[in-house]
Amino acid sequence: MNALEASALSKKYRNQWALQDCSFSLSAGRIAAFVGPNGAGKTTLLHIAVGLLHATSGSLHVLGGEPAADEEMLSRVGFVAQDTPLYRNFTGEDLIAFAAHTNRTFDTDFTRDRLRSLDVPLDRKASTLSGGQRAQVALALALGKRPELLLLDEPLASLDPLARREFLGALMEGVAEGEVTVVLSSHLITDLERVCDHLLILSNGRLQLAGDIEDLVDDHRVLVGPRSTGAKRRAIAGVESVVEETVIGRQATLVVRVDGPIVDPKWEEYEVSLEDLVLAYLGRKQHGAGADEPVRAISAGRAL
Amino acid sequence: MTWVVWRQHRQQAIVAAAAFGAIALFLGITGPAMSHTFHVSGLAACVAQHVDCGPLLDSFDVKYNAYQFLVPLFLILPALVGIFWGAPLIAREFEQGTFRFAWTQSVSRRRWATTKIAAIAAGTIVLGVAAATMLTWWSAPLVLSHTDKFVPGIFDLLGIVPIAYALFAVALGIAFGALLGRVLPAMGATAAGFVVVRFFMTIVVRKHYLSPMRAVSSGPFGFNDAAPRGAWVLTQNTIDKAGSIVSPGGGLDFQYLSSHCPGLPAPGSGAPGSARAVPVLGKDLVFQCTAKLGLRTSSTFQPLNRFWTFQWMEFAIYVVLAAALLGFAIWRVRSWSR
Repeated sequence: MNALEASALSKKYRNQWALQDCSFSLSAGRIAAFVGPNGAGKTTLLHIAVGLLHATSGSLHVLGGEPAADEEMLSRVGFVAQDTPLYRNFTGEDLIAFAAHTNRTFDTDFTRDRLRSLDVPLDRKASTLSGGQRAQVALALALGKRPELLLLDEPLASLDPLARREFLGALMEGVAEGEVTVVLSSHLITDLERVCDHLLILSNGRLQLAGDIEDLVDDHRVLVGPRSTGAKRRAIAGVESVVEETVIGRQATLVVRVDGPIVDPKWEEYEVSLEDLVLAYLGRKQHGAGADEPVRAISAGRAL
Repeated sequence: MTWVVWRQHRQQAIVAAAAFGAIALFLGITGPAMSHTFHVSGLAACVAQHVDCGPLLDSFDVKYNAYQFLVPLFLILPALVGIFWGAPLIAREFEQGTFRFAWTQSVSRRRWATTKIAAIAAGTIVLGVAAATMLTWWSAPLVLSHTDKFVPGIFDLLGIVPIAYALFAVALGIAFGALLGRVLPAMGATAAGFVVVRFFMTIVVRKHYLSPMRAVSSGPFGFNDAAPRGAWVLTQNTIDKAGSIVSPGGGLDFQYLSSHCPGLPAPGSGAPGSARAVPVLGKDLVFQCTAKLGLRTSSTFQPLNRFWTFQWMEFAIYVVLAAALLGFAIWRVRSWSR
C-alpha cells in the first residue's frame, strides 16, 4: 500500500494554480522530503493530504483512502502545520489533554515522557515557549497519536540550527520503531539530507523530480568540459538530458541525467551532491534566459 | 470534546458568570425593596382595580425613576453574549490558525463544530433563562404600575423573548465568525446585525403577527380611549360621524374645528393648525363643538390578552433564525477549504 498516491492532482486558488498535474506515489515506510521554494505548492499538497483543502481536480489517496474521509482516517494521520499553531493559553499538560480528548487512541504517557526528556516545561503556556520547544510539543502531540503517516509542514523553518538538529534527532528517534511514513516539506534540503531517503522537488506548482535519493544521485552527474561543445548543444553519449548548464569563461559545467557511461574524453565526470541536484532542478524554469543569467558555481563532487 | 470546549472557553464563561452575578446582586438588592414599596403603599391593590392611581403612582415613580432608566440597558445584554461568546467561537480558530491543529486530530469537522456550538448554545440558554426570570420578577412593579408590558421595549424584556434574543445573538456571532474568519470584524458585524434585525422586527414586523383589532371610543371625544387598557396601540385617528379621518394621529385639528363650528375663532395668528390657539379657546366651546360634530377616536391595537401569543411567536421566529444561522456556520466549517 502506498502512503500517498497522487494522480494529476491540481489545486487552483481563484485564478492561480497552486498545484498542477502532480502525479507520484510514495510507498509506506519512507521518510520523504518535499522540497521547493516558498509558494511552490508544498503546503497546498500537505493540506490536501490532511483534508484541510480539497483538490480542484485529480486525486490524492492517503493510506489507500480519501484524505480525512472520516474519524478513522483522521486518526491514522498525524500532522504538524507550518508555524505549529497551538492554543496559546494552553499549557503543555492542557495540550496533551486536548489531544487525549480529541483522538481515539492517544499515548499520553509517551508524549509526556518525551517532552520531559526534552526539558520542555509542561506547566507553561504555549505562548511562553520558545519556537524550538513549541515545535517539539507539536511533534510530540503528533507522534502521541501513533499515526501511520506523519506529515510535517516546514517544521524547521522557524528553528535555529541547533534546534533543527534537536528536532530532527527527536523525529528520527520517534519514528525509529514502527512503520511510520514521514513526509516533511522544506525550502532547504541541507538539514534533511541526513534523514530522508526519498525526495520530491516541487516548483511553481509542478513536480520536477521524484525518487529515492540514492537512485537520483546515481542517475545524475556533473560534467565539466569546453564551452563550445555545450553551446553547440551536440548530444553527449550517455547523457539522457541536461538539467542545468553553467558557463564560466571557456568552461561549461553541466548537471545531467545519464543513461549510460560517459565515454567522451572532452568531459570530466563528477558525482553530484544532493544540494546541487535540487538547485539544478529548481533553477530549471528560469534557465535558458541568456548569457547574463546569474552564474552559480556547481561544486564538483568526487571525480569518478 | 466537551472537556476541550470547557477548557477553551472557561475564561469567557467565568467572565460572563461574574457579570451576571453582579447584575443578579443588584437586582436582588433593589428588587425586594421596590416590590415592598409597591405593595405596602397600596399601589399594587390600586393598579389591580384598573383605576387612576394618580398620587400613589407619582410617589412610586419619583422614588424609582432611576430604575426606569435602567430598563433599556438590559436590552443590550443579548448582544453582548453574541459579541463576546458567539463571534470568537470559530473566528479565533481561523485567525490564530489553530483550526489546522484541531481539525487534524481525530474529530471530524462536523462533530467539532456541533459540539462547540451545542455547548455555547446551552450556556446561552442557561444564562438567558436565569436573566429573563430575574428581570421579569424585578421589573414587575415598574411594568405593572404603568400597565404597558406590551409596548415595544418593555415587551422585549419580559417573558421568554430575551432567551430567544440571546440565542439569536450568539448564533449571529458564530455565523459571522465562520463567515469572516476574524474576531474583530465578526464582533462588529454581530453588533450591527443584531441591532438592525431587532429594530426591524420590533418596529416593522411584530405588529403584523396577528391582524390588529379596531375600536372606536364609545363616549364623547376626549373622555375615554378607543383601545382597551394595556393594549399596544398601533394607530390612533380622530374621525367624524361618517368615519372619515379628520385628524391623523389623534387629537384635534383646530383649523378643522373652527371651520365647522362658527362659534370658535380661527386659530391664533393665522398659522394653520397651530396648537398655540388652545389656551385662548374655552374648553367648553371646544367640547361643544366636538360633540356637535360627533368626533371620536379610532384605534388599531393589539389587545393585552395577546401578550403571550406574541411572546411565543417572537420566540419562535428568533429561534428559527438562530437555527438557520447555526446551520450555516456548521456548513461553513465543513466546506472550509483555504
